[in-house]
Amino acid sequence: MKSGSQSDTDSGAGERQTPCAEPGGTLPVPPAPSITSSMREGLSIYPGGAASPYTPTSPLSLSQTSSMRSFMKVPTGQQSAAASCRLPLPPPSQPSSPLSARGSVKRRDSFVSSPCRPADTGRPAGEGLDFLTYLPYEIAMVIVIHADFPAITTIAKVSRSWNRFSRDNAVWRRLFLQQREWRTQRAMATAASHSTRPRRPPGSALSISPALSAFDAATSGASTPRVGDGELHDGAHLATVAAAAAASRGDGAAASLTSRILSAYAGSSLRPAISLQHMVAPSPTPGAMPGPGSSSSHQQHQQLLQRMPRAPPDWRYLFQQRLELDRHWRSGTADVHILTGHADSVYCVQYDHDKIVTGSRDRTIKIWDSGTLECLRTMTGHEASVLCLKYDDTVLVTGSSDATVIVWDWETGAPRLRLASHSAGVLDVAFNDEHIVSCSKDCTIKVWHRATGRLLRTMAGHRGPVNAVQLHGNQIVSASGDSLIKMWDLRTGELLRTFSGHTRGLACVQFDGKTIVSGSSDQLIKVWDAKTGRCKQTLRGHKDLVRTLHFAGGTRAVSGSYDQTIKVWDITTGECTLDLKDMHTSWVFDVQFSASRIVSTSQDQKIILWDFAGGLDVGDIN
Amino acid sequence: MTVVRLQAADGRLFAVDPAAARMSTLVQNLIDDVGPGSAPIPLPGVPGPTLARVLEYCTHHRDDVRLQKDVEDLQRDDGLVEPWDRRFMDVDDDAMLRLLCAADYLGVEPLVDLCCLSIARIIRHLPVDAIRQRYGIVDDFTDAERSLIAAEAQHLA
Repeated sequence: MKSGSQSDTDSGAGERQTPCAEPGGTLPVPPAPSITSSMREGLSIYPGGAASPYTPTSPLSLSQTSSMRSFMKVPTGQQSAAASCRLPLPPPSQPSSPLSARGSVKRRDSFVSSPCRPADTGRPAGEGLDFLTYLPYEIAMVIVIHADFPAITTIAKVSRSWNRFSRDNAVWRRLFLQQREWRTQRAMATAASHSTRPRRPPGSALSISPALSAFDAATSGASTPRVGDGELHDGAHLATVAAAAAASRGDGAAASLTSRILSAYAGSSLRPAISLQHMVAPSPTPGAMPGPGSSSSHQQHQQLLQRMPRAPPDWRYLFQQRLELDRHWRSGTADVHILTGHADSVYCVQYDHDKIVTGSRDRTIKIWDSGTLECLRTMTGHEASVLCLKYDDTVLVTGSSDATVIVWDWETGAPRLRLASHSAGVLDVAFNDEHIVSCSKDCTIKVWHRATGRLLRTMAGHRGPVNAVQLHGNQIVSASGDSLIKMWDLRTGELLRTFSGHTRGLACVQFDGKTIVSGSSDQLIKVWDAKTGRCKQTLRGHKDLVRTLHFAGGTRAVSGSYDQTIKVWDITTGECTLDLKDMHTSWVFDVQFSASRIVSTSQDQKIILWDFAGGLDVGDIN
Repeated sequence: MTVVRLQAADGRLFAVDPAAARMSTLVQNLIDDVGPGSAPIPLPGVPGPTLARVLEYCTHHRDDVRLQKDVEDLQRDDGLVEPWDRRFMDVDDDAMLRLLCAADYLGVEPLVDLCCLSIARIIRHLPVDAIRQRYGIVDDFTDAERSLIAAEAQHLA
């Protein structure tokens, strides 16, 4: 497969044609120490853009090459090549440099030719290649993103050019989204919330041109719904802006690869990160909009211009705020609010960023404002304690000791349907778009048609009261006083699997489709693989019955117990990461958490809200 | 089943399986534009030995199903590098960098990703001094900048 010309393994030949030396190949020894030391100087003035004495302005003549090779590792000499190597090059139009007698082509301007140096790894310091500075920006970015947090804080300290990456908003966006827990939490946040714009701390570095910030917003806005930028950019318009920008950077066949890289790593900034020396407050110039080539209306154009001054979110800032929020969770730093109003034990709660809904032994349901914490409304309808509730945008469903399930109309606040069939108190409810599932002290689970209230099916199989039920997809998971968890098919009522392991009755269960978390009178919390039935983890710590759990995917679970404490757990390690005690003065009946809050209710008639986001700007999550 | 002929910068010729050659979008585009012919496709941007390595990768992965990668899938993956790839990337810094440049030039996206990942894995655990030493980087911060950076790092500690 070799051509007739010089093979690469030819050793000893001083004039190697291929600019790239193979490991073990020989290169000429640097001829004079003076060159070596001055080229090191050249290193230090890079990457300010200052020219090094060796910047090739024209293809090098061979007479220079042997001495040039000794400093080929210095990226300064390749500044122009580096710039051109943003695009994979088609064969260059410049004349190739004059060659040795061997006659093979030497492409000086190809960036691939640059890293030539002896490949012995035992080289002394100062002879490596500063690859991050040398590579095309998009590729260097990928390396930094893969290196992840916290390595980026180290990268920030290496040199000025490395520091660029730690100031690049697109990089921080990727790092943020790479934090799996935070992504899960964002999914948990309700869609209805309007996020507040993150405050930018003084001196933050973000002067982005409006066009580029638009590109960033378009690509980030498209894939991640709300991220602190409730911006409603016209996606189509911005897409054309972005395409024009991308196209103008490429040429020939190379452009497709560039734009593919750009689109693959969407959100990447098209401009170099702001240098350390130029940290200014953002002052974008509206009106610097490129190409009116789009077909958007004038009104949309105006809207866009109005929005221009608002740059995309400062992801580094958001990252840092979330990190701080995680710290608060670890240390228990929270603002505590106590809501009173119910006349008896509060059995159940559900909340979102607008409201908190609670049900009580006093037979009422109260709706509280999440912000002011005032009670907005009290709903009556049940003839006995309200034991459980669930709601979504359109319905509220409650279960009671009076053995009925009520489906409430949110607007009127009055009961719409009353589902009666159970012969004892309804202990838990779950629903989806079409079905309501209820479970009861009478040991059965019932499936109802949500719209009409018709009873579709009864599943009897548990030997004790069914204390909790969960619905995910077409699977029902139930937990009973008989110490078993059972999984049922919603459509057929068929029993799919039984999970045994607890030694006493179960009080609560959570199911997200993949993982089941259960709490029991045996004081343990168990984490199960829903598919295999295997118990993956047992969480120990509570000193009494575990009465309530909340788990929504991710690694965090929160439990409440008759021991009057609330504990936060990492279900992968089994560690209890936070223990909230001395707040409730009696049994904890229900608990729910979100990215920045925990809400718990108790027999002591109190509803307690723990807010971990005090002082933090985490407006995009609840 | 024809074979695709490629010519490296130094004139070395390679004959590869078309499926392997197609992993390079540059080669694929050239074939599509120029049509299959008997003349070898010149790749002046890639020297012989490096091209050999790239083709070794492409040949091994030629039957891989190419998933439409969701942008948001760019995530840490250490566990997902197959053993063959790990061995393939067990080379020194120069070779890795050359491979990355060649893969970028040729448009072999999975290999670009693999190289970036491998380099990232090296620098991920190195302290600042070790990075500077290994890659010959000079600390060019002014004192003011250095203290500013230290202050910023505090927030993210």
